[in-house]
Amino acid sequence: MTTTGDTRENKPTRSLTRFVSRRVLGFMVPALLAVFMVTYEFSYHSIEKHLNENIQSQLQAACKTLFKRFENTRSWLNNLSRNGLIVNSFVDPAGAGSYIPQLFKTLNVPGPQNGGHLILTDFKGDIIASNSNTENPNLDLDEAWLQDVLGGQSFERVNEQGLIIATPITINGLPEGAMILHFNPRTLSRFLRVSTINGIVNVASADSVLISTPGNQDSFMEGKTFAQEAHEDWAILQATIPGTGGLQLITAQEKEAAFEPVEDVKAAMIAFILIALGGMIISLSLSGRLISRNLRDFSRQIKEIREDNDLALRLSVSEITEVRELELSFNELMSALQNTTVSKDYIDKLFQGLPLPVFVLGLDGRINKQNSHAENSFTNREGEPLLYLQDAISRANLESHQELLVRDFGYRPGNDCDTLMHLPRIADRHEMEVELHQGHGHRKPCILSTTAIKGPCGEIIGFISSATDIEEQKRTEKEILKLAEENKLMARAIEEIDLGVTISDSQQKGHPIIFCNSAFTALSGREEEEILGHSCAFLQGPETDPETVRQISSALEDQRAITVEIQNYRKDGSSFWNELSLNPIFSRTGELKYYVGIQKDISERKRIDEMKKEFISTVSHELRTPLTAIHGSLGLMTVLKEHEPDSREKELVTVAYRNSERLKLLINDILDTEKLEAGAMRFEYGEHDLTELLQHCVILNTPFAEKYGVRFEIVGEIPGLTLSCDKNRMSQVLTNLMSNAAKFSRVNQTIELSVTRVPETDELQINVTDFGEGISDAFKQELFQKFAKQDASDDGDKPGTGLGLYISRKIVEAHKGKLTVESELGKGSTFTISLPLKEASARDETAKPEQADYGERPTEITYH
Amino acid sequence: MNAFQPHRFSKKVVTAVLFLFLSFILRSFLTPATAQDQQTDAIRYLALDADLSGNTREAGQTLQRGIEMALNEINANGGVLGAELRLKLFDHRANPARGIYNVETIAKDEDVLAIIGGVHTPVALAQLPAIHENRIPYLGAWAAGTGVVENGYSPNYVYRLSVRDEYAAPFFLKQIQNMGYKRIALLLEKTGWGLSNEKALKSLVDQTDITITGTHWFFWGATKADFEKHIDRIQREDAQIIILVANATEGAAFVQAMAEEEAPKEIPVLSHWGITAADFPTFAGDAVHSIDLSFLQTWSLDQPGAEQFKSRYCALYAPCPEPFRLPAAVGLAHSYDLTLLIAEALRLNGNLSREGLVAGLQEIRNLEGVIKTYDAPFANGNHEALSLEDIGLHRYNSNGQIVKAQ
Repeated sequence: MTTTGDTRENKPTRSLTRFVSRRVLGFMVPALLAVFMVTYEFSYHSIEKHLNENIQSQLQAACKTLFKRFENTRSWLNNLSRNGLIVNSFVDPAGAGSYIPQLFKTLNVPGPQNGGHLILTDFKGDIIASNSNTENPNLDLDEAWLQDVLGGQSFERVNEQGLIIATPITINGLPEGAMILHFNPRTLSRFLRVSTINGIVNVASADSVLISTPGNQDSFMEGKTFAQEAHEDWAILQATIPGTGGLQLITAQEKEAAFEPVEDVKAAMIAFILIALGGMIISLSLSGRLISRNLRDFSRQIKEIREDNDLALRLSVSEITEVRELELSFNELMSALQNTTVSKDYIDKLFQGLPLPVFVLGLDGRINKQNSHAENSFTNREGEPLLYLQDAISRANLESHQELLVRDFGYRPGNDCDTLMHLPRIADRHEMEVELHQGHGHRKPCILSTTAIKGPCGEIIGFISSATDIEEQKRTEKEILKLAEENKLMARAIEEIDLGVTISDSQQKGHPIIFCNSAFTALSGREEEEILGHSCAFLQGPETDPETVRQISSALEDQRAITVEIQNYRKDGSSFWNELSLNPIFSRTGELKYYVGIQKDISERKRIDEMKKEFISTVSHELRTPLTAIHGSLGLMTVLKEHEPDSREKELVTVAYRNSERLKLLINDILDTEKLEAGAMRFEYGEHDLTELLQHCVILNTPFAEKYGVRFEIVGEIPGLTLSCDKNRMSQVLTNLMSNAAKFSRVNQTIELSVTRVPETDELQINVTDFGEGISDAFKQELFQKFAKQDASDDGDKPGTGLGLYISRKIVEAHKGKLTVESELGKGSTFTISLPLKEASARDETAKPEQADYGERPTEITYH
Repeated sequence: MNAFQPHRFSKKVVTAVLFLFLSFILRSFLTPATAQDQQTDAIRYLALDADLSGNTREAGQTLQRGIEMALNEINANGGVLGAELRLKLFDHRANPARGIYNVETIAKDEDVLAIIGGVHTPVALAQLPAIHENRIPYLGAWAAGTGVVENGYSPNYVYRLSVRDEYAAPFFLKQIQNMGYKRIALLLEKTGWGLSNEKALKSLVDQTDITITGTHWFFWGATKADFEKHIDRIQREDAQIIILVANATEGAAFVQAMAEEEAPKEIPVLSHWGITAADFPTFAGDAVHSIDLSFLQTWSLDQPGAEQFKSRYCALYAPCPEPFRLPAAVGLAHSYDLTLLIAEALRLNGNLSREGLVAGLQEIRNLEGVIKTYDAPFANGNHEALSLEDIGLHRYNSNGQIVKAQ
């Protein structure tokens, strides 16, 4: 409620109890009266319905009973008329006299009537026998009945004079007599009597003469004609009993007795309503008092808070939900009030804590308030504490700004303050670049941002100014200008070289190219605009090796440099081999900014390499065939000459044999190389004991050792491991290393074989160490390349094809291992085969036989 | 009756009679042709009182047709004493009360000269008082009860051309003796007819070595179930043969009960002829062929000389398909012969009256009928036209025809 309640306060008040009672009772009393009336009506109709249903069911039950009674009686009479004795009495009239009277004396008509005449007649209707000696019933019948009976039909008549049922007696299949059942009015009345729990059952003839009544009601007397309108106090239902020639069944129940319960209900309802009203008044008064007490308590607490004038005080909370809600709302209101008071301090603190200098200025530029940042930063031009903001701004700035106002706005300011505040005044907010004095002759370049403060009616009442430091920015700009001069030269150089150069932005998705030189546009066959903004991927085509692409992606991801040879495509679809070198460029903070790509068309070199490879392959094959024959023959000749005395011939044969041996090795190595490069070398993996393997190699190379006067020695402990490898190929590698070691050792030196296990990388290392002359750093670079030989001269002591280490490395790589070397000139070298232990053991578990036969294509190996 | 007491006639009466006689003579001389016409125009009636609509209506019909065949022949030959004889039908439906009523009705009609009675002995017995009270001749063509003829009335107005139960009993016993059986069971209907048979059989059995194992009574309308109980008892009595006195309806129920089980089928049944008064083979069905059933009969269509009679019957009533099966055929012969005897009696007496008939019957000396030649059948106080010798044992053949038993 925001309105003041003055007018309401003057209104007369009433107690809560009275108010509630009046409202509730005003509704409840008419409601209870309505309920009373509805209930009364309902019970009246319900009883009336029940009464009707009762009479209806009585009527149905009685109707069924009487129908059944008639049926049973007829059935009994029918059976009697078929009785053998009775039928025989017709054909044996002489004998019948002896048994028929006896039979009739014993016959009793079933039913509640206790009586009834049975009469046997002949075909003329003359009585032959009867069960009554005393009475001679006057049946008062015309001839019609006899015609019915002799026609084979039963005859039935019921009226106030009684009941007659006659059934035919059949002799020889023909009706020739009758069995008659007769009830006089008294017997018939008893026959038709049906007892009921409520009400009475009467039977009237077809012409409405009562022929059976309970006899205890004056309203229903036998012999009188029944008329419904004469019995208005009775609930009456009437029905015809089927198959009785129109007998009327009349069930009746006195209404007065039936409706007695309705009066009881009425009395009970009135009592109930009175009790309910009394109870309601009492409970309303009690609850009114309770609520009043709570409300008074509530207002007392508020009064106390008002008197204490303490915003932190709160109301204690009641257990009544509604009162509690009221109290909580009040408490929330108090909290809001308290918060408003506190926020003023908060804003003050916030102002002080701002990270840049802020001034609150009067209209004359006087500093009304400034945060500590501002207070500590700036002075006036004389180095004194600042009172007016315009005094901190350099004179040069003010003058140039004044000129600007005159020139651009046609405004001539009256003083410094006017110069400074004119634009914020007309534009609400204005920024200008100025130098602010800091004392001791220092000035700081800043952006001074000024905003007008407006009063409630839109009038300007002051300004807020903040100063942003742009010293660093200014310095950077200077540096950039300097760099730009230098860059012009660089760009020129880049443009001139014949290597394709691209720079891609690594901070954008897809590394789009932001620079390319003309050599690159020529190489890629594209215009500059087709290149800039796109990823290098447009260079790739159908023959591009996906593995190489993957390597590039991996390098980009790892932010490292990479050099690859890759088949790329020009715009016109022609392909070329590209030696691509990608180098990352990081910012000073170590953030990756760019990648510089250098591209070189090496298609020609590739072609020559291919040709060379093909040439060697062909030549090797062609050489091998005749060589085998030559070598075999020479071998044979050497053996034949072995025991002959030395001769020139023998010497020549030996030389020829040795050279053919070298030639064979060379060709084998070339073939191996070819196979490895083509991925066609077969590896037959198997489980081999490491110790055995090493010993096998030592034995294998003993001739070498003897030849060069050196010794192979397995040093240290060999772990009891099984190596999953191609034994022959691994032996080939070891032999190569060992023979190399032997070749480059001095006589009597030892060559050590050792095995170490590197738990960190889970690797097994087989080391072959010699203490020979060692390998120069320069040669180390090309040691594992094809045809690499330390000494190009082919002397007989150190024969070799220059392919051994190349092949060895390839074989080791095919085993997912590495072949490395550590060497020092004059001290010796150590060649190390590193094999992954897990790989070795896992291979056995997963490799299938056919895969094991062909090994794996050494796709991981990078060719150099 | 007055004729037998002439002394009681007064002079007036004699004068009147003489006057009448003279005027008659005179008239016959004066108008002989007219007199002849008057004679021809005279009609007298015979009444057939039988069951014409009940279970034995076939017998009623053969009786009616036998009479009609005879009357046709008689009337074709000029009638009797110049009068045409015609038949009036009364249906007593086997109900004695109705039979009495019929006698009363017939007696009132002066033109009816005699009653020819039907199958049912109980009806005939019940009618006796009325017959004698009204002095109307009753000639039984079928009912065999001995008491019908041996009725104690004098004069006895009842004559019969049929079997007499008294003859039936000795006939049965003679047959049983021939078959070699010693133990017999009686199965009889509880009527006068059954009682008369019981009486006759019991009186004769004492003179033989045959014993009656039990006498079993049943009422009219007895069912198969009733007879099953009787058969059960008869079996327990260990009877060798059953004598059955029953009409067709009950007879059929009995035969079906017999055929139901294997054991009873073995017991032969000797039946009175009551069962032949209706279409018994139809009533009883196949059961009639599955038990050993024979019965007495006076005549059958396979008898010598019956062929010509059959042709006349078929010419008159209907084409007779072969095999010709006429239920209750014996009734045809009985009533035919009886009608010939009545006509003969009237002719002999020369008086077209009931009394004339009674007198005339006694005068018959020789008359050839279809059953036999009657030689003074009713002379010397005899009231039975047939005798024990005229009875034979018969059976139903597979066509349901009655044939003489071999």
